[in-house]
Amino acid sequence: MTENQFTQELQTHQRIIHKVCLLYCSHADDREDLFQEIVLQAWKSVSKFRGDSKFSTWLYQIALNTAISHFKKSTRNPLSFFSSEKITSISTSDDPWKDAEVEEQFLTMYKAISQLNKVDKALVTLYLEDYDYKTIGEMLGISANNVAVKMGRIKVALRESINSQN
Amino acid sequence: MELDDFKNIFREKAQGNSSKSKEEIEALLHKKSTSALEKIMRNMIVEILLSFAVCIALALYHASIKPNSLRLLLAFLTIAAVLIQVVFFYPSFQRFRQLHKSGSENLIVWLKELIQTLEKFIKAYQRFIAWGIPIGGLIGGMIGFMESDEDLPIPTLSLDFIKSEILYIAIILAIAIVLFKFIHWIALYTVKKLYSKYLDELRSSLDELMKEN
Repeated sequence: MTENQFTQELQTHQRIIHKVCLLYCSHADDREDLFQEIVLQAWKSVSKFRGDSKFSTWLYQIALNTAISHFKKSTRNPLSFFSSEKITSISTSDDPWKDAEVEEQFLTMYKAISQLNKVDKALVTLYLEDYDYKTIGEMLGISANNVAVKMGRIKVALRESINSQN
Repeated sequence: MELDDFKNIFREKAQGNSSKSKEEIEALLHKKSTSALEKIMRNMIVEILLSFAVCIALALYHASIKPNSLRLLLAFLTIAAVLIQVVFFYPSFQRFRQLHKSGSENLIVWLKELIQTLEKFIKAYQRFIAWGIPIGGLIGGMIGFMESDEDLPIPTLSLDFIKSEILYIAIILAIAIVLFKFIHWIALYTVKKLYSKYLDELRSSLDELMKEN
């Protein structure tokens, strides 16, 4: 794949990298750093991409591997994302009070996810992308049963974390 | 809110998040990586170049005041010091380069390779410290001894007030041993400080994945 083709593919699929960065870093600058690392890692590994799997799945794998092995001390205030940055507002109803409530619940869940360990975040990332347990297992190197067990545990942990925040 | 409810809103929010142009992505490909792996590789190169520069500076200094026999010895030692470093660190450097190519393997394979490579690198570093410091000290002592025979005006630790030869040697040896121990400790501490935390974090991720697998 030439540099031009690669950047083209990456531009089409950059949403994947943004999602991983959003779940792994709460601060915009940290996300930019991670985004850059994922792009560089993908570029270095692209010679190994044979097209056996979809480019999106391959990119998810690279992005998660990089996010998990990314090691950088952050002195920044955790969780500035969604609370201080201007992002697209999602209107779920005509009732602004209800919107505000949903927004708050969303932030609470985001905070709970940000407190998970890196491996659990990887599971959540793939789960949010609607990958089935078998595919998640293949990407992480664990069995589908184990994915199911871990996901069950993560959901319980998230619920507890949200309850403790409220 | 449950995770499944979060999923839909997150998707929409992520969709609305900033997107990069082709030019911006292209520019990223030519930027310097700040990953731990790249930093270790850069550190290795800097260390080898730095030690090479120090050896050259020392060799030039000695060449200006030494007879031919010592010049040859020092030239040999300079080359040997650099070669030893290259021999110690080249396999690790190669392994780090290879690692980039396994970035698309599944997470367990990737973490195992990463941990193994780092462990091997740290072991090589520790071996280098364990051998390099005493050998460097011995060679330094040997050169000092040869210089003393040449009767050259080189500043040395003056312990002339000690009359007993045995006491004199004992003090010199004690100072040398304390210095070796101190440098050895500093070097090992630096390695630990630089790399062990990263390694621990990777191991804990792997343990987490392997749990009940």
